[in-house]
Amino acid sequence: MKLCNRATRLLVAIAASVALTACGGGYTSISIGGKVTGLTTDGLVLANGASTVTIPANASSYTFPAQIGNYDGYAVSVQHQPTGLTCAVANSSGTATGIDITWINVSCTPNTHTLGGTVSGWNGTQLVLANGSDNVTVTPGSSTFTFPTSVAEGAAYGVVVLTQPTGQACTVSHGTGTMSTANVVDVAVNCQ
Amino acid sequence: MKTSLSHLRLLATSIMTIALAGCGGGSSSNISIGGTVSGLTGNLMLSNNLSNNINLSAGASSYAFSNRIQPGEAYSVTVQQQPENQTCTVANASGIAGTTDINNINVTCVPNHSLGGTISGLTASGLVLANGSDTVNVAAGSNSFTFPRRVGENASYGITVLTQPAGQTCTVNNGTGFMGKGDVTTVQVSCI
Repeated sequence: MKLCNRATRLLVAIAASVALTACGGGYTSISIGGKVTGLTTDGLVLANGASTVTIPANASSYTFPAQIGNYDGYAVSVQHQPTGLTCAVANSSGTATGIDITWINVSCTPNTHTLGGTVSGWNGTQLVLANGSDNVTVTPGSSTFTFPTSVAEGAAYGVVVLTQPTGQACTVSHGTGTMSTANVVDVAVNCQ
Repeated sequence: MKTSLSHLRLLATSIMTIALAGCGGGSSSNISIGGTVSGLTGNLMLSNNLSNNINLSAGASSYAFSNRIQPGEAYSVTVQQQPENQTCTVANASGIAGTTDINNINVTCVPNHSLGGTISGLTASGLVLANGSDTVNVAAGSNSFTFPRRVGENASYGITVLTQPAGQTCTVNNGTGFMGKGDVTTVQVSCI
């Protein structure tokens, strides 16, 4: 029985040692990264402390060039957003626990901006504006409008009068263009 | 001694199990993403975050993506491929997952029709027409046009001149309305 106890202790020590080696044991050997979705343009840079990684357009995954040590903490953030997109990081922080970290996923969506403007001379009867299949019924008493669906950066827009007010004709100026990097607020609807 | 060996084997197994559990891993993904489908008469492909796709066929009444996501993770469901001669739209398409399954990303499909018309007097190049964010480049000398995207029944359309041809000015007549049960071919563009 004494022999058995010694053997047990030895085995425990070996097993623990194997387990620690498998886990990385404090050496700088854990890679960190994840999946990428929706990245259609260049310019995305992620940071983990002082370490950074630049991720090109159409990438589906990434790994930081610098690895971290086992039991090191990590906190990944977006240092620079790609052109026309906003990227968010899921599972962005944690502590390395012996295996490579592959679940710091990044999802990117196109930036959109609102489309709207002002109304003048309107008699208050129903006035409906359209941008393609998106409509806005201008609120009586209001002198401004905003379409319910925002427009992606770089996409075209064209505002028309879908329903003219009773007894009036409204015309649209500054109603057509390509969405830039800010909300459009200068579409002018003038009714007579 | 035989008993002792069994004892050791059991202990070794236990230690390895504990060691592996200690290594940990990714957090679990457990939020389901889906909704209802109505009106689908063809084949439709949806995408979540432009990565996980699902194919739906005629008569489908509900769907859920194969990949579940984690609480706090962003989702964005888009139509990756429209069915032939239908336009499907997605309600409640994007958001951030909470702690319960998401089952209100509902898809509605309706028949669609082409949108176009005739052009007179166009001698220069550079004319671009827009219906919302859908655009069509019209070559010099053209006497007709059709937008690349079809418009769903009952959806509005409104055609504007996004870019005038060099040295000419074009105006649009009959370019606004709601899509009915057939193709629209009556939009008139006149250039002088």
